Amino acid sequence: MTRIAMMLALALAACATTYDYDPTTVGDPEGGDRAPRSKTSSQFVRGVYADLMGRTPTMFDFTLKFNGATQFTLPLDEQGQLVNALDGLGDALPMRNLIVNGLLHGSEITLPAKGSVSDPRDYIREQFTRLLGREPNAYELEGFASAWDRDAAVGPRTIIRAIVGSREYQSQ
Amino acid sequence: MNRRNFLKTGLAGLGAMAATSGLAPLIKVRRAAAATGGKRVVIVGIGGGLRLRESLGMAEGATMPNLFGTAPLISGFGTAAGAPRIAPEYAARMPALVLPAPRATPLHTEGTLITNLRYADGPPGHLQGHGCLLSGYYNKLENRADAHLPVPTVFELHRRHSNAPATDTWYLSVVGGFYRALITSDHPDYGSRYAGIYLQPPGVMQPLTSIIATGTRTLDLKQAGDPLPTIPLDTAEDAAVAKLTSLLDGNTPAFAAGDATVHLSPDDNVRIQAHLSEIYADTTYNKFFPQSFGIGLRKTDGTIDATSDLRTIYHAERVLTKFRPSVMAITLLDVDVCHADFNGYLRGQQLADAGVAHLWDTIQADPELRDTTTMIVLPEHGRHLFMNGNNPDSLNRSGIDHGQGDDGDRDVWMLALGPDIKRNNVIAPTGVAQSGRGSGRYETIDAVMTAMTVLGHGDAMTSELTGAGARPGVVVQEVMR
Repeated sequence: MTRIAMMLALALAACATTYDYDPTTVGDPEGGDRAPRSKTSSQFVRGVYADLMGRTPTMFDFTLKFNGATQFTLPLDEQGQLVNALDGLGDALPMRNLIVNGLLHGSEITLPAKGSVSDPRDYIREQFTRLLGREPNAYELEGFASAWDRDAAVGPRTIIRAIVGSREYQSQ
Repeated sequence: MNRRNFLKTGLAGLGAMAATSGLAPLIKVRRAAAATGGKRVVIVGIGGGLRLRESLGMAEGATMPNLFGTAPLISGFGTAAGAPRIAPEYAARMPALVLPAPRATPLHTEGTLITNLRYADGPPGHLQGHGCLLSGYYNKLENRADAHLPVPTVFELHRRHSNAPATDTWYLSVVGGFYRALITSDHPDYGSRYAGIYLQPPGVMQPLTSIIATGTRTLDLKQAGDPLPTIPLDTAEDAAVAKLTSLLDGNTPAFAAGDATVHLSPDDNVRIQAHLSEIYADTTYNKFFPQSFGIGLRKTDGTIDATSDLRTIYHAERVLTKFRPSVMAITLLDVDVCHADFNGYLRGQQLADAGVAHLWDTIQADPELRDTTTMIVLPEHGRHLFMNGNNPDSLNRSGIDHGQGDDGDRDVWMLALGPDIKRNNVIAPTGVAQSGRGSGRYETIDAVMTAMTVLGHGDAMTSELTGAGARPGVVVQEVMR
């Protein structure tokens, strides 16, 4: 103990000059240490339409028919309706996840079958880059890839749903 | 079928397919029953703005026969009331009401009715009135999305003092917008980490969301029972998604403490998502609002249309029976059409009356809920003593506003029901003493204090209100067994 104390005292005595360094980082690939702020419902809807369907929400005419005979046609506002549904929950995350699941099952999005994806790791990397703007770190890539390998329920849709449901995607 | 029918009912009644519950393996239920002695409280605010004259006085007929019967319960209005007086020209152009036969014995005989409750302070506005029902605090809350009460809400009090998950406290509201902010306060010791779950059924529980999300542009049905567009439920996939999202979230900082949005725990959100998924996976759309509810507006095809109040009550029942929360608050608002529609106001009372009775029957049909649930029903405030001239009818009646604070605005009532409540007890107590209480009567804040006392949180509520410089409510001893 005495020896350690002496070494410490000598080290301190030797440091007659002090230097100020700017803080450095080795990168913050998971979004950094800034506390995220959640997207508003409008931001989320517009973002997810852009990311998953490559377009902005729009108005469209919905037509109901019985045996081919038109019963009525009405204009629907995608953003207005979905934002209304999302704002009806205090924490909209469960509804956001549900809507994304609907979009991924919808007519505008075609996902590859799990068996047709030759390299799952490449697919996972692509989705991270597309949706989060970054590559997965080694831990994330391994976690997603091993789930792909061992869980039959994990495929392209699962990967996208998981990323879009993450706090990182949900934040501004 | 026309456009209105489709929008309102979502093709309810076509075909059937049972949806299974999802995400069950991920659900870890943390209950607060031990902390509350297993007791539950449901506070129903019959908004927006219901006067004594029409409800207990039955001056326009017995508009709430399930709750109050047909004999006026306050003086000055005779001894018997007939059917609600709807102007004939109005009845001719509006859809008929679908109402079950009124109960043989009104609900008030099963509990205690205070006929002279006073909403004594604060603006008689819906947001402020319902804010009071959720906190026991007379307030002047601003009509802004980020305006929170300074004292803890009933949800926060319960969650903090019972270590309860969010799914143990629910706020179901007809109204969206600013009402979302009522689930949490600005109190530094409480706040969003103890928030309740806010659900606005008229916004969330709509089949149009399925149609839009699935990109359905045309729906060509061949026969009754054809499946309708849904968001599919896949329990295994949902569970896998939740695990992978959890992996990502473990690598991301938490949301900022001052984030404008309430963020529930992953467990709470998994349970809520499973609940929503089950509804949205129903190819009949019956789970948005089933015909079997039996209350609403009669459509031309004979089926039943939901109103906002009834859709909210139906989903409150679903939440009660599934999540079995300790605290639930419900905001109804349909009677507020009275600003420009006096006949709609009377019909709204009839529907709210039948809906609240349906809610109570649902509670009574479940042995656990029946033995543990106290329900308190009251208007958040009344309406002016005078009519405003809007949209006069052939019976010389017109709209009525609220907000000026006259006795019509402030004189209300409270009905309490449940295993701890005295039965067959209609009272109008006076001489209630408390520093700062000018009325000498029981007040709205007392209803809330009584509810929280049933749950064992009365001392905490008193302490927080007193600490904020507010006059706390007192327990209405006359209602307790």
